[in-house]
Amino acid sequence: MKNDAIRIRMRKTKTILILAVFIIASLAHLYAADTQCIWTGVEKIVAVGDLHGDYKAFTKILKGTGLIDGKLHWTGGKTHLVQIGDVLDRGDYAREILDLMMKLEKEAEEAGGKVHMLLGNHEEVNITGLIFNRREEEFTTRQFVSFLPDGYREKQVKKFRKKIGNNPTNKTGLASSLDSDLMPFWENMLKESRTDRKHPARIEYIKNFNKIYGKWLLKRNVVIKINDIILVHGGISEKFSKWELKKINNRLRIELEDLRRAAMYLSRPRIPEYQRQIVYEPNGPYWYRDFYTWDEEDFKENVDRILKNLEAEYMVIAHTQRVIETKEDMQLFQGRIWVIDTGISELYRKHMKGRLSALIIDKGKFDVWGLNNEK
Amino acid sequence: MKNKKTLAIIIFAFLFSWTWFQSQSQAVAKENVKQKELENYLRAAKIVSKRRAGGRGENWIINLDDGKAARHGFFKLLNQARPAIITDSYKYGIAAYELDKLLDLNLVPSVVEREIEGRKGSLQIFIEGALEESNRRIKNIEPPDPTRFKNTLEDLNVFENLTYSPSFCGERELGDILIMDKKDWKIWRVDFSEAFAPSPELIPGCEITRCSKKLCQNLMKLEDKAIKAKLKHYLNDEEMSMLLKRKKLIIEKIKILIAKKGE
Repeated sequence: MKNDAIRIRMRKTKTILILAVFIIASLAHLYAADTQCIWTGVEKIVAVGDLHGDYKAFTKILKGTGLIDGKLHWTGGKTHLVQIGDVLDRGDYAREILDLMMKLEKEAEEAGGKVHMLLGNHEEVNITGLIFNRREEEFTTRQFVSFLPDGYREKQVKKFRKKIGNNPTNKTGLASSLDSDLMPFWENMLKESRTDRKHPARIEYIKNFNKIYGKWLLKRNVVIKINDIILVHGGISEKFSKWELKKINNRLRIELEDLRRAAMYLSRPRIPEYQRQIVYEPNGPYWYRDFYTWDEEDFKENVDRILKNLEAEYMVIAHTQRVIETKEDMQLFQGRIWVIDTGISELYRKHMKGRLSALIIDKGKFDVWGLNNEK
Repeated sequence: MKNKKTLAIIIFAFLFSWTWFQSQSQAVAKENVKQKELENYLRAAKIVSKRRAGGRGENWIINLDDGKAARHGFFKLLNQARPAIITDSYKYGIAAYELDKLLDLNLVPSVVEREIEGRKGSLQIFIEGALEESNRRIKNIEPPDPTRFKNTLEDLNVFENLTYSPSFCGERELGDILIMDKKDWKIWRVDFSEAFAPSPELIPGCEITRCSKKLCQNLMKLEDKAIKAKLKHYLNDEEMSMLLKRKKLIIEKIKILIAKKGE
């Protein structure tokens, strides 16, 4: 009897141990995998700013800069394409952009090139599910519907059509859920999800987004260095300039992964908020804005020091839109900082003098695509 | 003769202390009136116009006018209070202000809860033309009275430990939340939207090394039930209980400092 009890207890301990090893191993894979974040000897870089769901604008830029063909296949050869974050929110087609990035990443790799998708603050608010707490105009109904799992979405549509006695359309996939008569239904669902933390649609969105896209995004970087150029969504503050790039990226991944899990399973994050160092930090790499507010004369030395700490000559940032007419409009601190958020997405082009653009750095020479209304 | 001299000294000392006490009380009363007036202004002034302000939250700069004076207000409407996995709520700013008032510190600009265009948030009086601490440090600008400045920062450190909201110690360097009124170098601490983390400990790297007599006395006098009564609308049970724990820790710390260094 006593032996049986000991055996059962031993078996339980063994199972727990195996499970613990499995969990640690799977997490360690994510945490310890040092995603490469420094490249040298790259001849050509094309950097694109905040897209905010404007898929059409993005493909136009990629075609215009010769990175893809009419069938959306990679033609950029060994070029490095850097999308500097904020693909999500404010526009409708973020999912399509992310799907294209995933596809191009593979194709570029095969051609000896590279596609870098960096993390921006809007990726953070979607991974953590906090997009539901933001202003209504930040989160479009179409984006909400597009990231819901297919099964859940189709079930909701069926239920709705049955209720109103309406026939289903011939369309399939996401398109079948986006008929105009369905939009008020989705709008209402999104509205309810905003106020109810446990609303099924909110949970489904967060889980599905994170299962596919969040997981993929978390294997990407927040900051990279190509040749002597730092590329990052918001900027690197003096504090973080003293960190190795690898440390910034790894720490961010650890903290964001912790929040991703908490958001998906409505649980408490394991890292107490007062021990977080980088996520949601105003001086963190994707929220930082000081370069825009600093007086160029007063803060020149600071910028020099930051770049020296990073062993870089230039920094390319976005995060805050700049109205541009000339190449010079994209430069701060005598061209040591380049701003590539030129208001690419439709919302900005319509209301805030935004324009399509891409920064091209070819053999160390900086040029801008988009200033001459290229087609 | 000797008795007369002693009596004169006693009378002088009494009059001096009484006058000092009166001036102090009047100053406190004056501050309280000013705070009350500002709160009323913030609650009642007409919203003339608004524009978006930068930052991670959803903040607006509001032009206010009550018919007598036009001023700016800072309206924060994001309410990601705990258990949200990332904290950022206007409510903690109001809680910090209430605590500042209970301690008679006057380091937090007046702020009230108000609804604007159907959305509830906090409306705080805007400190015009302030100098940010980060800029002061970068530009090496010396305050006119460095001792007074340093002592106020020491008191602020106590308050930041209490609210668990570091600005310039430990891992944080949040230059734009510690600001100086350029006219009189009055220190203001703004943005407590991530404060009141449920930590039972004080902030690592933000050690308390000094506390003004006034703040120490007020902290020791302040009863838990008074804090609960004022802050219960803004903090949850865990945040409240951790705040009270930190208060106890700070008082213990101060007692040790007094025993070591004297008052």
